Amino acid sequence: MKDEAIVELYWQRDESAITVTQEKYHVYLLKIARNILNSTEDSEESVNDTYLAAWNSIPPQKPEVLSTYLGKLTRRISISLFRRRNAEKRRDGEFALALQEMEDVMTDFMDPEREMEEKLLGELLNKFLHTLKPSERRVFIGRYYYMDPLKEVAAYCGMSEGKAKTLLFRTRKKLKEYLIGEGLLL
Amino acid sequence: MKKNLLFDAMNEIDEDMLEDVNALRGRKDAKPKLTWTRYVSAAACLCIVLIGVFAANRYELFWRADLEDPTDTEEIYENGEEHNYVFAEITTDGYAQKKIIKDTRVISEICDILHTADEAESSANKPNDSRPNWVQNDKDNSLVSDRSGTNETEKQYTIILTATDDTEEVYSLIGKTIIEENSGKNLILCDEQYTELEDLLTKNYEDEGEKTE
Repeated sequence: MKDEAIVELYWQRDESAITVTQEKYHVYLLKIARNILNSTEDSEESVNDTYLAAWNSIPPQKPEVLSTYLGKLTRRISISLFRRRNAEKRRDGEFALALQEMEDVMTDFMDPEREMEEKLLGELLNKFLHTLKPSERRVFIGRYYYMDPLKEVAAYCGMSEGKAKTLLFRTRKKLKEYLIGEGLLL
Repeated sequence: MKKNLLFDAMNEIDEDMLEDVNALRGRKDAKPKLTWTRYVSAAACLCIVLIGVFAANRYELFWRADLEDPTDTEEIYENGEEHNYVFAEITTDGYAQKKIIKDTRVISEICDILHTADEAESSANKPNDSRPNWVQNDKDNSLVSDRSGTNETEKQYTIILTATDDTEEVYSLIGKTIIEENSGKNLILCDEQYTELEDLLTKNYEDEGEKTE
């Protein structure tokens, strides 16, 4: 079933929308969740919460690309769950590794409100990503948005793992310089 | 906290960029791009190295090439004509092997002695001197010294000088007499010349070879 049709089911408050969504996107959403949580149980919980969040947000939302919309929901929910479960200690998982890699990008930050911060940073990120070459952008998003293992990111971006690692290092460096240039970092 | 903010902010990434990556993620046959380029690069580098080694060897950039094909030549002037001699082939009569001399310095000295001998001959040919006389042998049209056989220890040398234009000068040294093959010219060496020439010829033998007589 096409995404438009599924979104239409949500708008009609037809509960089969969730079943159809599950059939089409369960594996995809589970992978996003597992990359962050590294636990089958927690991943399933996160994905189930995603369906609920989708039901509650559509309408008024009318996403054009359902996969991306659901992916964002799963990602946000999984990250929140990760923080709750692992407030004090580190855990294995791609999200933990990704966090560690980003340590050298974010240091000090000026103090607007959290939501505004997120939006502002999101806009800057978009601008920054548009300055990158497609290969750099894909590797960055694959690693830090989808939290895919580096090996997998390298494989689907058509490069060696070493090259992907080098690209990421340089992109993080560029991002830091960009954010400093924008006045977001001291 | 701040890192978390960055990760949260990534949810604001434009959907078209996310879709672009998501489309790649679905590929089951994804694999690193074309490793054959590495092999081609390695093969190209190897070819360049081999060409470099070949060129260095051919043009003696770092070491001298094998003396099998001598490229140095010694210029010898005879009767106003210039000859570049590259080989001296020495055969000792009675011995199986012949020796090739490529040392241009030695060749030059041999040529000097051979070609100045006629000067000595013309100035020193006295009736009562100790040099041999030559008798024509009608059977094989050779010249035979009337002293042949008188000194059994004398070696007889055949000297062939090969020039770069493939001409050859052939000399036979019998005792102290040099016979130039083409002209039949007899050249009598004085003691000093003979000693010098024989020294050159024997010094450059690494071994005498097997005696055939």
